[in-house]
Amino acid sequence: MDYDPSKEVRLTGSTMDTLDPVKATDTSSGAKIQNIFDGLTNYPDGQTNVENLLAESLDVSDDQTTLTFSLKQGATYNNGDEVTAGDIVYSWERLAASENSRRASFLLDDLGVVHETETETNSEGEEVERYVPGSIDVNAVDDYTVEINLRQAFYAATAMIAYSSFVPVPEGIVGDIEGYDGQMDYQEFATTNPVGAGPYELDSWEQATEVRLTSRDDYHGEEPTNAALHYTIFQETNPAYTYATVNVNADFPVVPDDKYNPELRSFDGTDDRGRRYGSYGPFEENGLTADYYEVSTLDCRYVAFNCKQVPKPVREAVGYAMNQQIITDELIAGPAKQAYFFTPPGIFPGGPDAYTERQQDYKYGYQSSDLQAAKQVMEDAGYSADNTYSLSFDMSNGYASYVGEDLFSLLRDQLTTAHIEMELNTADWSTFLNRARSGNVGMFMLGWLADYPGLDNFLKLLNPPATITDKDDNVGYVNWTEDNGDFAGQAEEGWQQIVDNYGLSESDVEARAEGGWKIEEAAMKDAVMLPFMHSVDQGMSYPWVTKPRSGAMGGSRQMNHTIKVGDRGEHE
Amino acid sequence: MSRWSYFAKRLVLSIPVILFGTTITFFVIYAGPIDPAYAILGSQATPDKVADIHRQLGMNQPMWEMYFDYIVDMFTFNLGNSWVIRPDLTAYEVIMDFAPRTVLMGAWAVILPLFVGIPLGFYAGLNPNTLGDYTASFGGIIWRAMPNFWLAVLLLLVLSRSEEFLFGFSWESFIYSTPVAGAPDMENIWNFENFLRASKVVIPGAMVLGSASMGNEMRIGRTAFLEARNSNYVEMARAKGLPGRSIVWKHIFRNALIPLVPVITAEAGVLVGGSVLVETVFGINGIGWLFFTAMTSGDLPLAAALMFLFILLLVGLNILQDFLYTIIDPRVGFESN
Amino acid sequence: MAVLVIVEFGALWGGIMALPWDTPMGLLTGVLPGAIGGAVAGIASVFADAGAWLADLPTLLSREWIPNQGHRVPGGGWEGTFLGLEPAYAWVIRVAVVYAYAMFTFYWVWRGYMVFRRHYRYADWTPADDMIDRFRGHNWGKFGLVLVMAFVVMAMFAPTISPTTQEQNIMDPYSHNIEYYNDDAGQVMETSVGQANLLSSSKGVQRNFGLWSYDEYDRFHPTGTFTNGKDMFTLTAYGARISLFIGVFASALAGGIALSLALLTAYYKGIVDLATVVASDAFMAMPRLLVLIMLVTVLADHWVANIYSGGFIIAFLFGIWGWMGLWRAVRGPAFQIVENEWVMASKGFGERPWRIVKKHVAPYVIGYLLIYLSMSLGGYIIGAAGLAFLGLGVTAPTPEMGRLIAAGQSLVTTQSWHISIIPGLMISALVLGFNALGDGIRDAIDPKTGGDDAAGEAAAAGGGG
Repeated sequence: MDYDPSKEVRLTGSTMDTLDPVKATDTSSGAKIQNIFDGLTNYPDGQTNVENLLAESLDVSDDQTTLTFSLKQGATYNNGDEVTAGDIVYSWERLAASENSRRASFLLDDLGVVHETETETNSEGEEVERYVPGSIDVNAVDDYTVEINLRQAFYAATAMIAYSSFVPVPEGIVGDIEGYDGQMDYQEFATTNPVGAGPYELDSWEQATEVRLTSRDDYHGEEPTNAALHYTIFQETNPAYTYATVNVNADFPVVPDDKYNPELRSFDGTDDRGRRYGSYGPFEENGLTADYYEVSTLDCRYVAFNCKQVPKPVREAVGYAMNQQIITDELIAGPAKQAYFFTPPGIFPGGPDAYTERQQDYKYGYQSSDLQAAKQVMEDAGYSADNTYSLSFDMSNGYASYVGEDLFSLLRDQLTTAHIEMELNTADWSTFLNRARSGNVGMFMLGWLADYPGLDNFLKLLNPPATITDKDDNVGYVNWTEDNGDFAGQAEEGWQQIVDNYGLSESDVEARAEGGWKIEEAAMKDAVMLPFMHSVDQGMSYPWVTKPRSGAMGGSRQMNHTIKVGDRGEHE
Repeated sequence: MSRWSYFAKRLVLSIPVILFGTTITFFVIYAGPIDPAYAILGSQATPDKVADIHRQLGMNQPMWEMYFDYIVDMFTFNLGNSWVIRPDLTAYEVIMDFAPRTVLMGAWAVILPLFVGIPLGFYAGLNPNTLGDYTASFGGIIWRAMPNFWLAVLLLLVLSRSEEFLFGFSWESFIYSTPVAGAPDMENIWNFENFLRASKVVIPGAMVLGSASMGNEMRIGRTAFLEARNSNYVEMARAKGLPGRSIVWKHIFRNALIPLVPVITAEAGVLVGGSVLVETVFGINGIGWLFFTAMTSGDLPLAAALMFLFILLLVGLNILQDFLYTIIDPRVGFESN
Repeated sequence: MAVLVIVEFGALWGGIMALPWDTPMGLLTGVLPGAIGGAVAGIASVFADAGAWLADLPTLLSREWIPNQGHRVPGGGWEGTFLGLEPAYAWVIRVAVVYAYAMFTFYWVWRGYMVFRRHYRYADWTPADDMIDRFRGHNWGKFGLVLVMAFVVMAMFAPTISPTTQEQNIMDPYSHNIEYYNDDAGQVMETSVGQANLLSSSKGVQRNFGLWSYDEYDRFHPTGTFTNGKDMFTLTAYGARISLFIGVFASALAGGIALSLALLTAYYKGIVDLATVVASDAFMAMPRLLVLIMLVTVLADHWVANIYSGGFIIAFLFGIWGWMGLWRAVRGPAFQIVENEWVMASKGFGERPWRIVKKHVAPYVIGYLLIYLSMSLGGYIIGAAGLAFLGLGVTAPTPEMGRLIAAGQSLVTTQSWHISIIPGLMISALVLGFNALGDGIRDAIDPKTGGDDAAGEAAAAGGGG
């Protein structure tokens, strides 16, 4: 297709926080960081396989604990400096030690870079372990070689490094770690002048209104095929819809749930990554027909229980009542995949086929809602119309307005017959999370999006000892023990099997899968967590744009420099 | 008590008023259960990191110390940093980024009703007890009974399908092609074309916000007109053989002016509160929306700073109102109120 | 009168019992020590049982007499509905009967009052007579009264005039089954209400059941269905209950505070008055809606926020933040009355202060207060709806108009427009009714001021959503 490399791509987006890679936690910031900064490795087009980007090659030692990256020579930042190994050391030290960093655990815990800690007493008089600045075992061997030492083998190391927090910035660019004064003010770096080695540089960022990135002509990789990325920012879907679909001011239509009509889809086929593609339209609003595809992302939405508080029969009753098919078909307007297990099919123990096979035997009924069974299990446990169980269903406001309130309303209606009185408790995100972490919830709704494509990234939330909310560093918040679940032991065993086999070999992969299934099965049998959907992202673009389909890691991890814009005709 | 000493007294009294409001804001926001550390850390929150964030944010001090710092900071306009929404900026910078849109909308919300409501009121007064009078009055009353946010939803519906509802009139391409909803572009606002463009985007919101005062202003216009027409000095003027019209208009405006002052200042209160809803519906990212988002996402310093500014604004408007009264209405006095 | 009340006593009592009585009692028993708490709970439960029994009494206008829920039968016609009529007609008849009853009762009370006034009352004339007569001649005020009464009847008789019951359709749909005629199977089948609701939802492009429609389960929806398939009319009728509760409770609280302060400041003047001026300025300086957003967000996690599904806290906060305008409006009249010679005289006679204000000042002030209360009441209802619109305050499954509007906001440009439009119309009509009633009361109590106290009104009613 003909395209004009001098055209800018018109996009819509949501508000973003910051352009400092170690500080950003939201996907909107992430999407821009992905385009301004390049990492050693990268998920090409947001797919789950990892490719080298700034790295030219990688050597892994025999015990798989030492990674040696050779850097591409001549790659430059948008300030003209060349990317060197020292920049990696500096950037990762920022990730570990800067007070601006919010992703230090990815480096220190998940990737597991060797480092030192010291015990410190915090203001509340508790003893905490703290990272000793400058102690990460990441070394610049020469200008273009960097050596990383890990505590133990980690099969997903290159995938983890592809996460946007790990991107290099010029050494000493800001002074928020020891030993550097900073070439520029922190605020300048994070808001107006982010310096990275990616295909774009920041042109302007008007708070909550628009962001413009212009492409660089000295980019080390494939030459950008467009001149700029222009994001118009919306807080609400409806104005975005008016802008992008009614007025065709963007290159990609926005279709809110209530305007989405599955009948308008027509599929031409499925590509090698399982993405169905075809077209959507014609739009009633503008008469255009958009290119369309659907891609399953590596995530899971679920309701889970604080098992210490909610007895097993109640958990099971909720499981029996919940019908994943009704949720994805009736409560969620767009496409979605029914979930029966926490780990998404793409990284499920044994692969997507095992998922499909095992979901048929889902304990609480595949695609069905069995209110009789729910009632039975409650009555066996001594509950009756006069002796009901009060269950609080907790969620954040954001989840409530997405699907949570509808799900609450459905489950509440259904479970009234099973002698459960359900009550909705919503709070802002921080309050909700705070309560969940301290074990002050009953049933709660959450989601998990893969940080790297590995089943342990999900299943660590279901490792029973780590879920005890009395402990400091708990995750998952389910308080799963032998006292409240018969299979907690099995899950713990499964987790041990995963951690003991973190290597890259075939047998490690198998052992991890076996351990993973042990956890999934135990969680299902104890009704600790009831997954209900894996998201399906929709990609739509107007006929004059060519954009590679994004992968399972999500569109926010895709770089946009290969988008081509042709003749927009009357919509110029 | 003379009117100027009355005014001075009001000025002095505004200090405890501001202090009181600021204190309440502090205790509601900072002593409440909202912990911004969790908003910042998300699912990565562990007690260590939470404690770190608390230390960074200065939340580990005793309550009274925080309170003292807060009051001093506020009264010296040191509004602190945004924690969650724009963690790299100060609250002042964030507010300055968002405020212009609300100011523009607010300005239109004051001006529009004046130029629509008062003439309509004059018209009703000119033709009292006719169909036109009743229609205008009744329309104003109904308009006032509708919830602002619902009115906004309706207006958005009508404007986004204006060809259908308004007989082929297209709001979207009217004068300039602009989106029906969304944030106005505030860049180079002093350029006339940009100003018109931005104004067109905020005017639907301004119409909704101004709806309450429009009804009031219409009634004031109508009464002022009727009173002036029936009053003695018009007879006098006529008897003297003066050209009646100019005198009538002069008196009408005088009559209308005094009751207008509280309506306009009361409107400011409506603006500040109503902007949250209207901005949410129209997708205008102004300070009302900012306050709501700050509050629901745990950005406490930003929410507190905004509330402080709102209090200052309202108190300032009250003082302005008293000042105007002092100038135009000789009757005013503290005891006789 | 007695007959009229007795035949509907169950329904009236049902309306009263629907208020959140159990929660304060529950809290009380929670706070009190075990033994006393148990006793209180025991007594309360006796009352609750008695109340429930009274509410269950058969009434003349029970929905069972004119049922509208039935199903088609093979070959046409309806089964289970009133006289085999189509559900829509059966429902219209029932609503008409309820309103006819309400109108008749109202007329009867009015006639009773007139008879009492003319023939039985000791005094020939009281000032109240003039006020009532003035109100009688005030068409606009009467229009407001009719609107308000229409809503009160709707809220009171919500169980009777809804096309389905709250229990069956909203609260416990999966425990209730309905029969319907299945066109594909060609026979009458049974399903749970919950299942039927799921497939009767209005959600824009994909599916819609709008005004005056039947769903596929032979159920009639006068104002369509909600996004989750529940009946809109039933939701709005019960939503009117909670809106009225919030409006009335907040007004009573704000009015109570304003009255007490007005009496206090009028009697003591000086420093008390100054302190109240400062306090009222301070409260007024904080924009009400924003303060409520702040408080409701902060209190979202507190048990108070669960009383009456959040309706109580909203009403309470509106009350606390509502007295300033009212107090300002009655402060002047209260001062004037205290200045009167006869009040001075009674002071001279050594009457105790609270007796003086109670006997001489309060009756006049209450009159003024009524005017402003009926105007601010609409403001509270709109404000509560605005908060619910933002997702704060009253929580599901309790219906609140603002939440309904919010749920339908994005659907307003689709065929499911009714979800936002109907509740909006209801609120507007209700508020219009209270505003008009307020105009009428003002002209009745104080004919001199006329309709131009815009400043006072703006102060009393301003700051809504």
